[in-house]
Amino acid sequence: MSLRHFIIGLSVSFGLAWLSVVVIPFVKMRNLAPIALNAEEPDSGPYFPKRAGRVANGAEIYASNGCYNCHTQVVRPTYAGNDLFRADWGGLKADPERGDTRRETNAYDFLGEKFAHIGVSRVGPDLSNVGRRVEAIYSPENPSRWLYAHLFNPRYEADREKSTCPSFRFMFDEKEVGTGLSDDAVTFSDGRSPGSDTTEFVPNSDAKALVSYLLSMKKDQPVPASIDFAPKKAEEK
Amino acid sequence: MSSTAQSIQDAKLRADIDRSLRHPVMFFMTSGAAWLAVSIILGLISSAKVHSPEFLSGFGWLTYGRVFPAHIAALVYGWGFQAAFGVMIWLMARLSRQECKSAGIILAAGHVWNFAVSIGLLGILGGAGTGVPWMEFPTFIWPVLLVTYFVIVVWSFIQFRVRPSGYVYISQWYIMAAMVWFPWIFLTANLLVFVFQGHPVMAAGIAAWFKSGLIFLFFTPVALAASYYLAPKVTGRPIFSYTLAKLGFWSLAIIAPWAGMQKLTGAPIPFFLPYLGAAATALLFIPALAAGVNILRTTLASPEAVEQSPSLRFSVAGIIGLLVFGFAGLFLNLPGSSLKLTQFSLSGYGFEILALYSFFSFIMFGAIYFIVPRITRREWLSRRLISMHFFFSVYGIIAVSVVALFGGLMQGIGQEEWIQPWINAATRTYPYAIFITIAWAFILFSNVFFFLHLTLMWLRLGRRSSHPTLLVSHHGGSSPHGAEGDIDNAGPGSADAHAH
Amino acid sequence: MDSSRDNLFTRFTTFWWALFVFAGFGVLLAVIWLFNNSEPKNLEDVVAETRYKNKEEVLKAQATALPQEAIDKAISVVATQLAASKPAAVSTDAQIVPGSARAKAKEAGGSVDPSAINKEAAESKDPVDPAIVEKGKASYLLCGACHGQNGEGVPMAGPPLAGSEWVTGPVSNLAIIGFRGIIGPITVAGKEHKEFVAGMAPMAAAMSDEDFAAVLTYIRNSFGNKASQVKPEWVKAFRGEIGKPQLPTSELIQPEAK
Repeated sequence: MSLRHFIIGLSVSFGLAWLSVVVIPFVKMRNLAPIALNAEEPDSGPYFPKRAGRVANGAEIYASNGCYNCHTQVVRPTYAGNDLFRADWGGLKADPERGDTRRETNAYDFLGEKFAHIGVSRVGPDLSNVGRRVEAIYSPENPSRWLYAHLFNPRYEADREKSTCPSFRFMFDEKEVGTGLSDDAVTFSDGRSPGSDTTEFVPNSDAKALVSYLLSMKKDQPVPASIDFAPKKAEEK
Repeated sequence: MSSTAQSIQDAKLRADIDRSLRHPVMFFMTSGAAWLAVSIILGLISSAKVHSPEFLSGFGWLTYGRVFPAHIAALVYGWGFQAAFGVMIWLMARLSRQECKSAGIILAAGHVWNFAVSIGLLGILGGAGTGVPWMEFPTFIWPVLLVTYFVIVVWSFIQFRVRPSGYVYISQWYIMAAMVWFPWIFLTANLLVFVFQGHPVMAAGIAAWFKSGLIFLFFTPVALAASYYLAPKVTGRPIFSYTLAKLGFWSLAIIAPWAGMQKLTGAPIPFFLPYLGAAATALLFIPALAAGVNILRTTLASPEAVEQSPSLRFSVAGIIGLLVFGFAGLFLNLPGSSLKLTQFSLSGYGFEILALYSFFSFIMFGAIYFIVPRITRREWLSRRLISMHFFFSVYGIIAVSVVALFGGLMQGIGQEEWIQPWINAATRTYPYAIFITIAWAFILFSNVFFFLHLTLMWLRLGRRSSHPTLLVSHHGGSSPHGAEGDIDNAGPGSADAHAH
Repeated sequence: MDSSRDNLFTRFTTFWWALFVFAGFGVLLAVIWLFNNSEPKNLEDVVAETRYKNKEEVLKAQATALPQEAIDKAISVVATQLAASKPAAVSTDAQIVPGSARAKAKEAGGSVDPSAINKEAAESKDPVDPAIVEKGKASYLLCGACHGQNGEGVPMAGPPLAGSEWVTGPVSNLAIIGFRGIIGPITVAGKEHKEFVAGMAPMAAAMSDEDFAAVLTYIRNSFGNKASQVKPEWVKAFRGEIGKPQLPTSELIQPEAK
């Protein structure tokens, strides 16, 4: 076998996979066609799950601090895993207004991000709907308080004593307390706050961006019928 | 030419080749070993943080999310690539019977590579990582790495092209393939993830494809090239079957480029992509089996060589690692059963360490133990240091295999038990995490000996002897070190065993 | 494959071949990219398309309803008016941002009872002062952009004022509409209009009582309408409405259809 034949053979065997698995899917997926929100009403506009919050900045902090090594951001359909059966991963099982809002991740859920942090492993829970969980279940009156407390000391609360999440203390600045604790100073659920009698811990801009990003993760909006695989819809039909 | 005159000519050519390559290859080996030590320390720290999160906590640059990617980056780009460069350059020069005329350029490029990896690592620890698994270096680093890579390996490409007529060795095909595959996957992945704008989930898929490609299309062929060289060379026997070797090579070339996307099963990308990836990864046991059978049958025909020669012992251990790794790829990626359990578990990390350490690194150690005496014209100082290196690495890597193949499955089973609260699944990891920390401790211990030994050789403090340092000592008069002990420029009897 | 291959020329060409082979798929990728590098369609832009379409139509309609020549003619009048007007107080109700806490507090506050004013306006037999009507006509120029210079209404922009029962109806409606704006469908002269998606802004919030009353008097006595003159103090009574959000017609007093 000559060098030329070798290179050609290599190019063909590699190129076939390169085209089929990498390049063509990449090109085709760039221009994902918008789906009409309601196929019957042409004026309803496209399905546009706009995310509120500092998605781009927060995603950068999420990436550079390696959260994707322990947390995933994908709710797998039932043929690929049991994620959807959990009560608060794909959405809420018992949302007061909408009932069961759980759904698997769809291609429009990463709007605003350049790289989807699907995740490497699950040491911690999936984060696709962490914003929904925090606002509906953990701390509705002050969602960001829960997240700042978790980032500062993940092991403080009794139900998460065994958490192995690293402490992101370095994202908080210790400041002198003014006339009272600042609005976003770290406080735990028992009302106590770290720091001495005269100091408080206030999130820096990285922490604020990260928490804003996490609170934007509410991927359980209603979806158009063409990508809605929830079983009860089939029953209604 | 008479055969004796020819063999003297050959011996002289071999010595010339070795001398021309001494500086770049020793540089790559030694600095690679240093990076290995750095990577293992980082791996130990990150593994400790998995079960003891308050260990060294509170510092930004040591947070788990930065230390772990730094560990992988040092292992892959620091140790893996530099060991591969050293081996590729030396092997191709020897097999193509060419002296290296660009040693200076290669050495300079090697320093640039080192510098780039250092900056990249500092970038990751400093909080500028990109968040793309195995591509975490800040984005200005990858073009530097690509250009440096070209400057290092292109001379070997040229050497192959202008080689004298004659037999083409299997190793040469594997080295050429690795040389060409890496820039193909590296350029594609970096352009599609960082430069061209595409769909975020597809970018994640391509990163997963790149990770798999790096393992199967660069590190695997380089390791196979080294073992296809060492096995016949050290045992003095021909490769068991050339046809099987060709089958192994082309099956790798055809199957491996499809693998990788099984990491994204269930994610919103076209359905066929992850399942093709899982199928390809599972089928890769075919080239693993082909190469494994071939090399093992070659070496086990002379078991005393495996027992005595450090290079061969490490290579055989590496080939056994290849077989474990190949079959792990089969068992961990079955779409109906194990894939959903292992997709987001320790199995992934264990699988990668199986590939990078139990297979690739062991064979690289074997190659280093072979090559370094020849280019420094000194022998290894102590067989006990080599034995320590071997056994502690083996202990460590067995622990990692257990975790990968068993612990990951257990963790995955816990994850799939959706009725239980998440903390149940999370705490299942605990014992396996401790196991991994112990494994890294063993491996660090073993590599301390290795690095020490290698540095002494680099400083030309090895034994001046033409008797190789073997793992088995012969007491009494038939000691290979000769009657006088260390300094022994013995005659023909010892030269035969050493005429490589 | 003989040793004469090992020459400088072969080495040189092999170097460039190596470069070509190494970069091969990268070059291929760049070529594919050249043909496929259009900006992907942003969902934001897709959603915004209907908004931009509406905006285009409104702008076009306004351009016909308020042509440049009319604007040029009116500039001196408007300029004189502006020069003669007194500087605004530091804090007026017109400066309240709709939806802000202060606006909400105002909304929570009570509304003025309009029945006395409406009764007075309906029963007033005073003659209409032509000077006031002229003054109102000068100010009407801007209103005409949406309602038509002859009160005929402008498609997509504003309903007709000619023959409108709202114009000749209760004065409180007009004052509140001027100070708060209107949103949602409105029925004028038997025809329901749903096309004014943006509604009407509170155009009178920054006008003085006299000017606003003059404009109202003008529209109540033009385009075929006939109704009583509007007194500035009637308009002043509703100043508290400024800062409240646009209201739907259901919250106004429904006028008797003609």
